Amino acid sequence: MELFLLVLVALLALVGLPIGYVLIAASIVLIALTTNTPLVVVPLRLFNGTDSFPMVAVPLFILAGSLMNRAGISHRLVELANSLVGSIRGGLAMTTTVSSMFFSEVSGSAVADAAALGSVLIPAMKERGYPARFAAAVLSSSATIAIIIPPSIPMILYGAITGSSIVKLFMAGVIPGVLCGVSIMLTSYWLARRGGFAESEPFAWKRVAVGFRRSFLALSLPLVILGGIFAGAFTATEAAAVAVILALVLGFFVYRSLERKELRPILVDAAAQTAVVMILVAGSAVLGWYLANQQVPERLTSFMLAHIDGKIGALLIIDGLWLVAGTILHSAAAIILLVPILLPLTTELGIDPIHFGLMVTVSLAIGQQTPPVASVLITTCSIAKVPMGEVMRVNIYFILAMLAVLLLVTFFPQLSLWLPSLISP
Amino acid sequence: MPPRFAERLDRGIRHLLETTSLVILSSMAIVCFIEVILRYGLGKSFGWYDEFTGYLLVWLTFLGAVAARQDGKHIGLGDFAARLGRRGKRFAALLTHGLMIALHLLLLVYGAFIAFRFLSDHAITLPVPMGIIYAVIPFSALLMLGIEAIRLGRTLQNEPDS
Repeated sequence: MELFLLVLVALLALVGLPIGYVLIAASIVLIALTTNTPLVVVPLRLFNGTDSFPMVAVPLFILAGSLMNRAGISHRLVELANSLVGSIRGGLAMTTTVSSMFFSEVSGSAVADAAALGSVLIPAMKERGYPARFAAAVLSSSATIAIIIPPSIPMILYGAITGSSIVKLFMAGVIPGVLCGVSIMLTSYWLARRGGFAESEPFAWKRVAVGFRRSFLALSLPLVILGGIFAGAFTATEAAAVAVILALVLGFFVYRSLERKELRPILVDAAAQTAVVMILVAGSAVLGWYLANQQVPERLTSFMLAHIDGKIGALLIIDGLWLVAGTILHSAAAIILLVPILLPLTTELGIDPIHFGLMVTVSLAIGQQTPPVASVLITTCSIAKVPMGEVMRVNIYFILAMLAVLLLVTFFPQLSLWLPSLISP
Repeated sequence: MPPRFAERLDRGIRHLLETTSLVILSSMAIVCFIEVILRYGLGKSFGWYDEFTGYLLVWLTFLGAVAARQDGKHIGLGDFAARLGRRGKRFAALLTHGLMIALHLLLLVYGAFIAFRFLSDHAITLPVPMGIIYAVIPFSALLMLGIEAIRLGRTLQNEPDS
């Protein structure tokens, strides 16, 4: 049955059916062929899979990210990041990573991050003589930090289906997110020295002060959003709504860079982006229900426990599974489909669900940069106008750096569990 | 389907989807924001807001999915079909449209069944029959069938998708 499912999914995907609908179609075929359940279960499961209050944060964070980008916040953050780290060798690459880390505090989507910053930073890097493949690779890796540093759409989905605290997941993402940023910057520095890339401009306190002044309000936005969530003042969904309203105020009344006529296309685009993610969630919910109905999670848990000796081996296998899932599935589909299957195993192994959530998120961040399903890499390649294969020759170094962080996160749970433990032991 | 009618239908569906998604997304943000203000300003709370916004998300998902299909924004492995050459590409496109039509016919029938079945049940905190809320499934399926029929017609006539 599992083999038939894989072949069916592969065939449907290869003819060009969107992945969300591949999952629905495969579920229908399997339910019809292997169970006596009436097909009315399909629309019911599709409905239940998307009817979730925590998931309401997904469209709102997407909308907040779009509004902030159109309001010109990305330019201000790039300017600030450049004043801070532009003087290091390979300065624009450093600027790319630091800007991504700033921007990821207001947007939960790595693709949005890549699109917003890529249009500014990739042309700038190319102009400075950085190879296009390097520019695309460093942005792709940096943008994926968006799903590790809070707020994060994959963490919202993980929290919604496991019942884990989204606030704790967000807190748990801070240290691994910073570690990913540092590892990418170290890799950039090494590559910049090898390639002889210049620093962007000399360090000057005056430029840092100007950068901070110009981006003060943009920087205070994540403080309000994350501060509000971490202090327990509002839920992630409410924080996302507050972010939308603050972005509107900033764009219309403070920076005056947004116009009323821009609002309709921004809303429509955010709605479509949401649907693209949520239809994957819905499709995965149906297939996930079918797999649970066939007792796949229980069978997998028994199999793994019988065949794997020791927790270290199990953790490595779980990481490997998620890395493979990240390369062939969109992160939303991977989470909704696989977390319920693997959660019983991780519970048996005594892994904290928040720790497991971070292992999942970091693995999927790496998966977003590996073909065939490499949403972030595809975005940066299209901005840099360079083939994916060429970018992968450089990106492999960044992927290795992030793999090192994944191993740290996997084997040192305190990296993700220490901050959440401060709010409730 | 006559080309001019198809063009008008395509534009009509797009306008309808744009307007509804705009209203739904704005309502979500406004309701959640007002909830925060009410809670901290007046110590009050909407009892219905989490259920309401959850249903808005369902509507946004199903209607937005049709809009995303219209704009070719869904995530898929279209690159493989694109490498098949002219005839292979056409075959893959016809197969995809056929599968989407079959899938949405099924969602139309079973979705309508659920909508009618739950017409007399009410939502927990809202004075709305669940059947109306479930109606988004057959409604979006109907819109998707319209989109797929237009695309199928164009593929058969060898026109590029708009």
